Amino acid sequence: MGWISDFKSRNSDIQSTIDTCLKTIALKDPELAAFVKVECDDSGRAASGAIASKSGKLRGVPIALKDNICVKGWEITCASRILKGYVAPYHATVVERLLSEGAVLIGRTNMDEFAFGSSCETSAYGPTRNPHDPSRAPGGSSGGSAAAVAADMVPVALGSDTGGSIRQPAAFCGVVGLKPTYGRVSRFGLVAFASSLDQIGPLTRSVEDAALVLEVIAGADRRDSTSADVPVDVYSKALGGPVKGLKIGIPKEFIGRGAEPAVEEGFRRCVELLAREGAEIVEVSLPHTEYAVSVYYVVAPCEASSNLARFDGVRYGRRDPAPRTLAELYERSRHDGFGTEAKRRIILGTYALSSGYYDAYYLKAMRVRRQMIREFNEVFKRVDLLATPTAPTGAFRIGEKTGDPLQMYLSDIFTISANLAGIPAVSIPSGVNAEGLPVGFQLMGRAFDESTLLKAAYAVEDKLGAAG
Amino acid sequence: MKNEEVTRIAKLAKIELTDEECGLLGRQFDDILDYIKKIDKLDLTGVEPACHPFEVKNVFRDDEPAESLGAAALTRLAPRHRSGMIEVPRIIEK
Repeated sequence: MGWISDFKSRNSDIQSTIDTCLKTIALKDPELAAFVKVECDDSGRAASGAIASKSGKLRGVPIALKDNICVKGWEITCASRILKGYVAPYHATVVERLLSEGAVLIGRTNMDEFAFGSSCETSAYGPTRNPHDPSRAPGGSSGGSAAAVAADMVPVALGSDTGGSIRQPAAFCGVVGLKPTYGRVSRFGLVAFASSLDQIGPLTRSVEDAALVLEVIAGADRRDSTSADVPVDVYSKALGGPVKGLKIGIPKEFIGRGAEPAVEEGFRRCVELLAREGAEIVEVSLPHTEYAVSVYYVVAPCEASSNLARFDGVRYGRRDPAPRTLAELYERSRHDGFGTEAKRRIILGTYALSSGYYDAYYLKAMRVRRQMIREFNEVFKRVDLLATPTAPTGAFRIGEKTGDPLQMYLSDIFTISANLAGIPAVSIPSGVNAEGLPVGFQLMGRAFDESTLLKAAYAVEDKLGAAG
Repeated sequence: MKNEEVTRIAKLAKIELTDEECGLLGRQFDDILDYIKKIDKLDLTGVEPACHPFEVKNVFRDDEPAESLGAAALTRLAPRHRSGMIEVPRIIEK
């Protein structure tokens, strides 16, 4: 049973649940630094729109939010100096939906600056640490959310996923991370990184909790024109259904790609469990996914360079104290406000979009993206789901990859394709490696078919749990 | 990538860089761009670019008046503002 069902069935006291969360945070967060700020007061009142209401699918459920999701009246910084002091003037749509179902918002979690990173180390606040080994990174960019859930500080956190930023930290911290289909969840009130890739999704301790949270946050929103007008399933109803007859594709391009033995082993164990339950396993090929990281590191920085142009020292956050000209105001505010990775990506994106390079990089990357989308569409005519590892390794050491951005980028090699194709994907824990650190198993599904995706993930979680 | 080129692009992106940052980023861009250039070997003749995962279309709504946040609530967020306006350094010389 998931945390939320258990909480409801025991008719647990909301106040004591909030107290327990706050106590756990007070105890563990000085070391782990999962939270940028705990916003909720002792009673939880400050952070809940509906705590007194009798109903609500998430009534009394404590939830943490990545520091790039707007809550009216809360500071929101995206873990960047450039937004220090900026207070959100409105709620994100996901926040409105959580509050209307009675959730209690606990606080803001740490992240890579503007979600640029895979380790939480580019945060202006300093890194979050992995609860399984504090010398290790929690993954990123939603590392604070993953660590907060893994360390029992909150049962649920929201993150955002542009190239794996929910799933990779979920794998590193041993929790469940769901990236919904592009357009399934409104992006209104999410600070934009790469608008054709970003999605908000839950990090939880069980597949059932992820399904319940998705039910609440999913759905069309007139304030996000890319949100999809596709009916929202009751995802939790699909759980426990048979996986017999499901066709699960193993993309051969994802296997034997240098993943550490425990990752491959966990992957095989999960696939075997699905086969034992009657799923049909077939090898498939997605040749253009070999280029996913290349395409991503053109498309994402290009979109980011455009989206982050708004942080210019004029309208929000930090401004250089004594600029002589308007140009100097922009250039100095951005020099002081952005960290190295943000500068790297903005400049890389500007380069790829600049005159003379646009065709060679951006246009070409968009063409490869089309080929990848076509391949996924073709493959999903033959299979219902795709299975891969989530990340090639368990959590790496803090500082291990910060000097080599390309190596850091390659830690997203298995997760990026789902964002480029817009399809939903989930990571669930598949075991531990030789160092005792969690590793993850990823399933990807057809666009808007989160029900099948979560049903299969639930079956694996259930059988893996039973096998110990 | 040479320092001059990094500086030129940074100027387009309106970001001041120190010499040290320039050198570091230039070296890292070489690695990253080398990796990205893997896509050069693909034959992409006739392939339409995809700027979105799905076909996106314009979403229209009726043009009805509704409440908005209001200018005052937003100008207050600016680091410097005066009389409901955002203040910036002089852009036209006398």
